[in-house]
Amino acid sequence: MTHSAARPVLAVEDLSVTFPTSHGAVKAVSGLSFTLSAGETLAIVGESGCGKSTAAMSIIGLLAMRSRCHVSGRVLLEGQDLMSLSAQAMRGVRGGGIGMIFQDPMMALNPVFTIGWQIAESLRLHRGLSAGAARRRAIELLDLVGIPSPAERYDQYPHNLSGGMRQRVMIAIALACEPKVLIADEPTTALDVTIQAQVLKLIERLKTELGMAVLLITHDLGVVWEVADRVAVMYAGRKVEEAPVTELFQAPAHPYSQGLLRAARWQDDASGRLPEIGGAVPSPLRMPKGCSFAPRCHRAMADCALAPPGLTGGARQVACHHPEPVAA
Amino acid sequence: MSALAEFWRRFSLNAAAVVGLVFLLLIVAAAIFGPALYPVDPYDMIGRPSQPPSARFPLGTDVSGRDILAGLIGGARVSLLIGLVASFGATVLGVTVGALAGYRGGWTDAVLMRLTDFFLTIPSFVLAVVIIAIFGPSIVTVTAAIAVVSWPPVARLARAEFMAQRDREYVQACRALGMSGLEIATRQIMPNALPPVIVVSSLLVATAILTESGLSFLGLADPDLISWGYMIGVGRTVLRTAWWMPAIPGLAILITVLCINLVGEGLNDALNPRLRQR
Amino acid sequence: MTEQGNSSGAVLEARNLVKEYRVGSAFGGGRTVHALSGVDLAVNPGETLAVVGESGCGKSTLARCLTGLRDPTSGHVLLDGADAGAMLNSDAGRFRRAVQIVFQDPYASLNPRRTIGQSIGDGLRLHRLCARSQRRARVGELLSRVGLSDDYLDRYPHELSGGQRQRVAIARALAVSPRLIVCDEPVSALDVSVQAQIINLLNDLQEQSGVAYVFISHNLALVRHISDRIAVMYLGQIVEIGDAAILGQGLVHPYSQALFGASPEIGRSRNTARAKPLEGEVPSPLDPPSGCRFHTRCPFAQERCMSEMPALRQIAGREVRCHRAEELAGMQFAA
Repeated sequence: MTHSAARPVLAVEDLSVTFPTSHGAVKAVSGLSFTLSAGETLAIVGESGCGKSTAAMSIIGLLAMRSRCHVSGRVLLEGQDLMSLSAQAMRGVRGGGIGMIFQDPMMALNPVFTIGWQIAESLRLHRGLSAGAARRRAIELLDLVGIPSPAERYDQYPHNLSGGMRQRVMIAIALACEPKVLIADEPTTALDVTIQAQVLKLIERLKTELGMAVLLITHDLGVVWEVADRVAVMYAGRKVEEAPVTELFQAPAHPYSQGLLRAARWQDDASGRLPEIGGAVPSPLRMPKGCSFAPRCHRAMADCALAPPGLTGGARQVACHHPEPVAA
Repeated sequence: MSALAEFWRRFSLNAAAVVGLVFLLLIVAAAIFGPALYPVDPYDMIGRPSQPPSARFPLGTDVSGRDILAGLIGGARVSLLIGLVASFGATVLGVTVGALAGYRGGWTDAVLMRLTDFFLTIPSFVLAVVIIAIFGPSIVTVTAAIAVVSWPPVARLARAEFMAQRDREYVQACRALGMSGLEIATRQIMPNALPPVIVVSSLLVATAILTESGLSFLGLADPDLISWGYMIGVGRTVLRTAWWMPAIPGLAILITVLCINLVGEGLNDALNPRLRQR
Repeated sequence: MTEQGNSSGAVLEARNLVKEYRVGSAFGGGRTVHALSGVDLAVNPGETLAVVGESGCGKSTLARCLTGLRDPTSGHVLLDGADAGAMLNSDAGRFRRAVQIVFQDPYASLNPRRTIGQSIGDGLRLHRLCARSQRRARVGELLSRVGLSDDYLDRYPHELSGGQRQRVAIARALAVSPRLIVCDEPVSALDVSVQAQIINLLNDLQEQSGVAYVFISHNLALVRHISDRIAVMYLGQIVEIGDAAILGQGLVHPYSQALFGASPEIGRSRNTARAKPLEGEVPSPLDPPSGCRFHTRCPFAQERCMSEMPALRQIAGREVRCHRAEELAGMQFAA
């Protein structure tokens, strides 16, 4: 929270992602902008289909390879526009500038190679280390992410490890090339709570020790509260609110953030029921013309259906025609 | 109805499959309506032997002076019938064995799968020859022999599908409702397990036609029926002087098998889309 | 309700439930997974008993044993005081009508090739609960009870959202008017805002019909909200069980403390929250530790904990499986 004045390590400007489908084009992310400074954790939070993972994938250029989607906007890593880089240069960025960890480490680890080899491979490829040096550094990294007896673990295969240990290995691979930004896409969703606590603590420690910036993609507001500095709430492909965590959790301005927070607290309202957000997320093929949340919003008025609201500026941003008044 | 429309939409995305289907339908139509449109008895020796194609005999005559075009049409009936019936039999047998093994598991599975392995290890063509040698060549024994040698791959696939479905939660929910094992296997799991099996058994038709041709070529088919394989067998002696005689039925087999394979591919695209919507 | 030997009045009871199964026995060797090692619990009519624990603690095996989907290795499940194992052999319908289950994954728990109406109607048909001519109308009623219109009767699962599917799965369980439904993580596959809808629905249904729930979950905030009683499981055993209100004042077993402490909680002071996460990982149920099963990770473990398995004991208004429960309860409630 103290780094807000620093120059951002990562700046995303007006990022949009469109997928062609057999029923028409679908805009998964629309006009997303945010910045991230060194030593800071920004959480992007939202429900499934809100575009948070798509945004993360398009930042590291993994999306364009997988599907025929169209990505526009700018992604600046220390001032360098990643969108203009060649595929070759982008691979270098993925190995060095930005590290990424995923929800399911089993999907990202190759089952036929030892975990040590997979870390060392990354070091040889991106750092040009010799085989011996890469092995020593890999063992150091396994130790750094809190894997007990790292030298023995080096020669184990992913299936020998538990889910929590695999996620630690993924983090070690992501850290191998000392990234400036770590993107963590639902890093603890597949883990048990006690293991989740360990992994979150590890990410927190590494952030402080290595001065990384962390972009945390999650649906779990409890996790956001405990580890993030700032939070951006996404709904139907758009950022609807962004603020420092404590401010947003104490006084959410957007009706969707309010609903999400009420749901995540699991506390009855006056009538003894859990607060719900009625209705469902609109189909991306039939987005409302105005504010995409208007059909579910208890504060919606006539003008909400006419045009999508713009984002207010500053440290507390909100995209709503009639936001909850927030003491500045 | 919409499921059928969706099926056709996915199938028609595969252009080769549609071409295959069109040709296959033409071949089937020829087998059904051919004798009415070209009323020549394929068993009748109506001309001089080994004539090249001419106006009177569009594809020539064979070594016994029978009309090759009539033989081709009659052979289509025999080859397609044997192919369809044999692969249907193999599918029923294979699905029954596979479903029982996959759903029951345990020793039922162990016994049935060792039996399946036993059939898989014997070269299928040799086994078919042995069966026909024992029971004598007739259209029934040939069809049965082909079915008996073709079911093991179907059983293996059906077993894998049933095992994958058996522990799905919807099956558990049915068990919690007190549904009988028989009903779960036939009404709940079967519709989910069948699509990949249908793809494999559509390809079995092609294999069955080839096997029948091979058997006929060796003279192990019903001596009273003309099939494509029989025609090749008859024509092989005059290959150097009248090449078209074995080549024409050979081409018929090639096109039919190719079409069936193309249609099978299309069925695979339509029934087993890799990115099925969750 | 006229059963003998049902002194406790519980709908469903587990008595010393043990479930072990062998894995990898290709060469006659094989190893034994100790999924449940002596679980006792009783569910009263109309109450919600939550079972919490991490993966491998045996909570899903417990769900399947309680619903008669798996036979316990030893011990008994009792419905109204009568042995469920015997009932499933003689009068299975009675047990099936009384106890139903709702699963975690609404995408896997409905048959993709059957319509919603068919799936819900299965229970009515199997137990001959209504005439065939009225089945459709009855399924429509069940749909409206779970908040769906009867337009959904002829739809297929893939046309429905996750939350709608879970409603259908609940309607299917309700079709036989059960007295107890085991809910195995019923909302953990759903989005936060939809989770609240399903929980409210489950609460409404309980108020209307007095159905009891065994609610299996790993979401501790949710468990606190929904349950009358809470059982915490670790490696096949219950380590702490008691009224939710009493457990809400403070937990005694070191594992329950660590589990609830590790769960991220909005509003908790952020710097002290994760002062000491539990070290290490859950040991394999193939080879559970001797003595107290938690001693390998327990910050309070002593000599005795490594050799002697503690029993569940009544302390501070709940039952706890810990040798040092008195001390820990003293520490917990002194301040």
